Amino acid sequence: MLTREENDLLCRVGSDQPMGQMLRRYWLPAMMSTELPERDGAPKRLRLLGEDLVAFRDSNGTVGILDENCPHRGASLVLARNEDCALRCVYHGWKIAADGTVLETPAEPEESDFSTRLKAIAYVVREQGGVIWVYMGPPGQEPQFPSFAWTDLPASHVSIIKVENQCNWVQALEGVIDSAHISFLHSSEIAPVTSENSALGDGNTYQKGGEVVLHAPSRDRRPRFEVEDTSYGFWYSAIRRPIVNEDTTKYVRTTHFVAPFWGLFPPPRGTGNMQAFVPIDDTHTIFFYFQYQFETPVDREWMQKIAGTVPGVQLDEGFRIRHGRQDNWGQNRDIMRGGRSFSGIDGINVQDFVMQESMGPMYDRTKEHLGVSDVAVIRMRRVMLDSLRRFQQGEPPIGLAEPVPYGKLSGSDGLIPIESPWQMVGAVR
Amino acid sequence: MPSLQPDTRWQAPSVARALDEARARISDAWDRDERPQYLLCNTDLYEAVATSKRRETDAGRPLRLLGLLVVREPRLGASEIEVR
Repeated sequence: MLTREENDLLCRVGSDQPMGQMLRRYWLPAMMSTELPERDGAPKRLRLLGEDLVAFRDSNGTVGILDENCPHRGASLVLARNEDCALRCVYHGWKIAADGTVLETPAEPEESDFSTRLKAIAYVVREQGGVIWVYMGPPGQEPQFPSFAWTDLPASHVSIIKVENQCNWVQALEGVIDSAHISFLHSSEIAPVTSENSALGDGNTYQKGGEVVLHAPSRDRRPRFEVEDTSYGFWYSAIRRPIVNEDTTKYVRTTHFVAPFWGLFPPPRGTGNMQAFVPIDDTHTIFFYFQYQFETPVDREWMQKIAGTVPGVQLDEGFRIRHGRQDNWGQNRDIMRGGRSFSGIDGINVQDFVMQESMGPMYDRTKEHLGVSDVAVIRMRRVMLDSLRRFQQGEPPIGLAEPVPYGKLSGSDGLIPIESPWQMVGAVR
Repeated sequence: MPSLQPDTRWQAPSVARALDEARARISDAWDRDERPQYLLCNTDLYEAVATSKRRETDAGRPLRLLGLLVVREPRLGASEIEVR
């Protein structure tokens, strides 16, 4: 639980809120590059940290992210013409470049120097790894860029899934650092190894009646958790009794929390994966799921199918899941009764979205009852609130005070001797 | 950007910090085959927890955190807790 004050401090992201101010100090993944596919194409509406923005790719291919409202009288620049390396507002023809420079104010007298004295609100943009990133903090104070491993891979080796969650960013984030729910919510998709599939080893995929199943070498539903702070957040382990050799080995899954909203959990062998939960506003969140392979191209369609996020099928044109509270998120009790699905919800990631959205737009944490298995959730809240307090006292936010080895971070899992420290699974070297 | 002014909300005792401390101590106790029953904290922290859990205390239920009964212990500092 949290007090109501702590809950507000943690969750609210407007520019007048402490957390909103701290989040503005980080690089934020804003949208996929594919959402702005062509130069001079249609501008896209974007909302981040409670601010309405417009994103566009100009004639040179440069991406700009501006306040949605024209600095003249506020008409939406989503409606603007995108031409000649700038947006031109269709109301009075004001022309605004990607960096916010007002290039022309054609309805003003020729001798007017109005445009030289004005600048539109424009944020610093970077495009890397198939993602358009934005920095919304004080000018000139951009932090180290989070060069996670996938940001330098060829586009063919990376799958990016984007979904708009209808809930606050913190409850969405808490899903990815909560290892205990896997044994329940995802138990039909992440199955224990059986005699039938044991030859595959852990971390591989398995075809079962046409359904793809990930499997793990443990049936232990009561893992022991250990957590260790890092300069960028923390990492923690879920330690389970394995199916075989439980007297001599243990099954360890390590997950990293990287401030402010990144989660890296164990991927299948030869691959990597991580998730981000970027606040749109207090009650909506962009979920990004990055899956990548170092040596070979990824199969995006397969990844979207497993996640339950196939565009046009499970997702609408606004990256929202088609189901919602009005139809109990499409839960199918027939497949629950038939034993085919524990949750009755199709798609591993959709199962997470449904749980998080079902809590309500912004969960009141004074009503919850945490257990000791909520270790990572508890630690994340403390880490972020402690960072916020220090930030308010003039210190840098967590993860921005010293270099972070973003490219080396990955969740991991493995079977190790029972006496070995869990940190040997996935330690950064 | 709004200026960063000291926020008076930080003067309240941190339940988030107390929870994290308590969880670690419960886990340590379990490793010693102990099963703690009580969480001791000073009056300010007790009141912060009680205020946030008013619904439960109004219903006559005892004040609990992580399954432990919360008990006032005036000798403890603002951010200190003990489990027993």
